[in-house]
Amino acid sequence: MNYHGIALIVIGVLELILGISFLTKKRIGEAVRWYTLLIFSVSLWVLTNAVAALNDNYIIQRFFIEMTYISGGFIATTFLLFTYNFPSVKKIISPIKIFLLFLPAIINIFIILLTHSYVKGIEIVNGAVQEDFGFMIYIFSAYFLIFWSWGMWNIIDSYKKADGYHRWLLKYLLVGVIISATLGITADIILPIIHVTFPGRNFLGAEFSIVWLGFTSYILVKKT
Amino acid sequence: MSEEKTDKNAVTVKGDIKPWLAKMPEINIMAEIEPIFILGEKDNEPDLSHWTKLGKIIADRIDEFDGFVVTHHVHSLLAAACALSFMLLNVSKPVVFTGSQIPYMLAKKKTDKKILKKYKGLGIKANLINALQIAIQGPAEVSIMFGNKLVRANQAHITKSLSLNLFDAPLKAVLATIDFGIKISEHAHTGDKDALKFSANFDDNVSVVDFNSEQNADYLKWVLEKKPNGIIIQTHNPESALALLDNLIPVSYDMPILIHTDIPYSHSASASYIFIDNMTFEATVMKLKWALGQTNNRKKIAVLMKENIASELLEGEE
Repeated sequence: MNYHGIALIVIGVLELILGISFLTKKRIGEAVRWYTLLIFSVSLWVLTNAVAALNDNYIIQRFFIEMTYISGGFIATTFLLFTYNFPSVKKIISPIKIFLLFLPAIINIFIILLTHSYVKGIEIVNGAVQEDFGFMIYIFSAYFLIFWSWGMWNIIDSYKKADGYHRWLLKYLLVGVIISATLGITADIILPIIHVTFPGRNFLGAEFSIVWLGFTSYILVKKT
Repeated sequence: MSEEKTDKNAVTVKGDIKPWLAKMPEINIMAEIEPIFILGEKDNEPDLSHWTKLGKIIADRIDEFDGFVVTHHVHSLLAAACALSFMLLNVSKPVVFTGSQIPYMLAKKKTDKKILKKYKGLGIKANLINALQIAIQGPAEVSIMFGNKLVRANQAHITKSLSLNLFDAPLKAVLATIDFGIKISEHAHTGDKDALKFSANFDDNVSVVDFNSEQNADYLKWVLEKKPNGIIIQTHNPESALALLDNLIPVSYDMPILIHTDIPYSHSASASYIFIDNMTFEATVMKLKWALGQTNNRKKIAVLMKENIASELLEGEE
């Protein structure tokens, strides 16, 4: 029984439901729009990880491991745009700038679909998937970390300046993001690059998104 | 914005508004704001004359703006918001009241410093930002924004003084909640309305007698001697209040007497008194003042008090 795959399916579906619940409510504001897209991107990332985990076929597994980097690109951009709009608009970002912020993620799709510059191949070492990474993983890691740090800076800056209910919201969001991102980045970027591998390592990052899902749900349910 | 030094944030004269707003750059990104000064923070509590002035400004300029935010002392904020809800019937734009529980001198007390530290204040800035967002796209009615809730003004009540959500309301009067964005409730007024009816006629000569703590007959006698144009008796036991009133109120007394209770169905019908069990106390007081401003006919006042004029009747009790 592939417990990682099943766990990821459950987490991905829960995140999908969360995203849909955002869509079905009457809402206003850019922050909700970007957060909903962020939830869908995370859900896509988790579900592509799930398909990779549930498949033994080399070609399918490799394809879906590459696909996880498509959603990764969108996670970075939607997270950054969300932080510019939460809890209130920090800066008006023009449609052209939004497009430019999405451009790396869009180019990333073509690179992934047309080349194998992310994952040159995969092999099973001691029951664990070991990727043979191409050069793009380093560029993607840098791009992801820059966008993520930029977004984190925005949240910390907002937290320092916020008061009352906004401060409460930012505190829980910050804790959830820091925990899940630290664990996720370690499992999905740092460990693979330094060739540390153990069974299920590839899917740990996606599984840690449950922490973020938990904090998001807590914010939605708990009303101070 | 420093709530630790709240005296430095106080808006006491018109000239203080711009520097105060400049401390919150997000506000100026969100909307074009035209500040209007009516009363400073260190002045006396606002009263009906200030609220009438406020209502007139809103009525006169209703087409110029997408919405209106009113920052107000918290002590009388509920009364002010109730007054505006009756003054501006069929208002087509959001009128959002907000404020902070922290008066300019409060931060000097030690106990309050703990709360200030926990939330970095009780949300002057957060309340104002949320109120502004509501004023831009929120429900077209008079409402109160505090903490993470937007509530209908004339169905709201005060909760805890040092909580983020200072005001609450029954579920159907919670017009929006805040989390990652602002979620407007299906109970909020968003549809088309008739033309705005502005009526600033209020009769302030209304007395309130509290029968909850004790059957205060002497105080009622004293009130009757003052000849108010309307009396509101607050009680948890309308039947026993009724028995006492029958002995105290002269037969010739022809001013409206309301018996307000928070316990529904706890009274029998009476031709002499108007029982109110489906409105908050604050809304009852303001509605009686408003009704007295519209007519001095006791029967018409009784009809107005039972009518749902500005969505003030609590749901399920209509």
